[in-house]
Amino acid sequence: MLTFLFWNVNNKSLQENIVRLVQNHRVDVLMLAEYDDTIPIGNILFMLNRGQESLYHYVPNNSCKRVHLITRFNDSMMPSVYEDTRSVYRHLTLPGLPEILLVVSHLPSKLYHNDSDQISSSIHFAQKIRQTETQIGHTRTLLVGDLNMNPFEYGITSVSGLNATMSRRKAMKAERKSNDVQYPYFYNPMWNLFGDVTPGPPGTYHYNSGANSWHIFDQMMLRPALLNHFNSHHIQILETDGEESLLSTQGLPKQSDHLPILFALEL
Amino acid sequence: MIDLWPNDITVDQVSVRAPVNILREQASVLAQKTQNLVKADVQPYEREFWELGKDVVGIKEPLDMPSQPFKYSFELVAPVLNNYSYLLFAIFHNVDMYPTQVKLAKSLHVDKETRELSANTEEEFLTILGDIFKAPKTKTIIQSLIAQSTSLPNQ
Repeated sequence: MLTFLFWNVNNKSLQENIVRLVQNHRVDVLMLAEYDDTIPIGNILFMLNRGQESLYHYVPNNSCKRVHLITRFNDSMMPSVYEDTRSVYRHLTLPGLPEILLVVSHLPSKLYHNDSDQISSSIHFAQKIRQTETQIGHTRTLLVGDLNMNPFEYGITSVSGLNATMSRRKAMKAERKSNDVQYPYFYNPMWNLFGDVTPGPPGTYHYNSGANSWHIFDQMMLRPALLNHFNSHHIQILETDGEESLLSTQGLPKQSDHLPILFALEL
Repeated sequence: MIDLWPNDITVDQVSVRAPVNILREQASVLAQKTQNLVKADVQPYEREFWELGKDVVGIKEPLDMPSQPFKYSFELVAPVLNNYSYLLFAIFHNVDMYPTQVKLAKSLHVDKETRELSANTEEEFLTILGDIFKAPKTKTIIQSLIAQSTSLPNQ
């Protein structure tokens, strides 16, 4: 079982919360967005590794400053395949396990980009993911990040965008044809986490914008080739770091305006 | 088929450690000691790298690439500082491993005689490594990399 945690920490100094989350959930791959670079990320590494035999590693990026990765694996086991200013593409090559393309991203914010901009950037992003899959020769792709769009928005669902469906059965069809071109599906389990029926908060991000002020901008999605390794119950939006609540007394995100997502792959 | 080879040639009975494996062990120890804030990278020492590093290592002549076929560099690396690296030394040896030649970074040696050291045995090699790791300059570099990697007090 490989455990992943993603959190947009909103440039806040949340080192202790981060360390508790990683330790309490035995996280293998920690992914952070909007990490305040004035606070050395070495602090987290130091706090995680203090007194431990099995050490976490920082995985340095080349050009992407928007996301940071800390893992249980030496960075040689997750070489960079591609990188731009918003996303890192790492080829997770752990001994005895199927190789995985891990894409971690922080896509453009709605504050500075309208819907059309976001759709355009999604189309470009999806194209780059497909190109990278062709380059590495498989489609066991896991996409994680703050996509700054909800799972139902066009940038996420449109065929030439990320083509991400809420239905596992549909995703298993692998591809969807449009204008004679086949586009591979992503399965997006984040749909299941909306609202009050499932455990956890109604979304990952709260922005006071009317009746539906909860959003799920922070998402994980995977290609059909990984679906056999993913149990939809093994994903959650966290409301506590194990010791301290991440929600205010009003039930809103307290430390960051985003909440962390935790999920696992059965490999 | 007749086996003409002696019986003590087996994978199990190799008792000697290659210098490069000693370097890798020490790299692992350093990572553990510094909580992965400073690592050591042991890599085959390529000609291009040699050319780039010749000023650092203190070799002026462009054709001064050692002739031994086994060449490895030992670099300090700070992952959270964009993988900043500092070449500490390089080793060179023939197939029989000893003598192993150790060429120090320019900042570590005090004169021409101490620039290049030679170990005739594993024991001598370990002594040289210990001296390099204990050198004030080495400690200063490591402490500086740690200090720039974190802002936590009381380390």
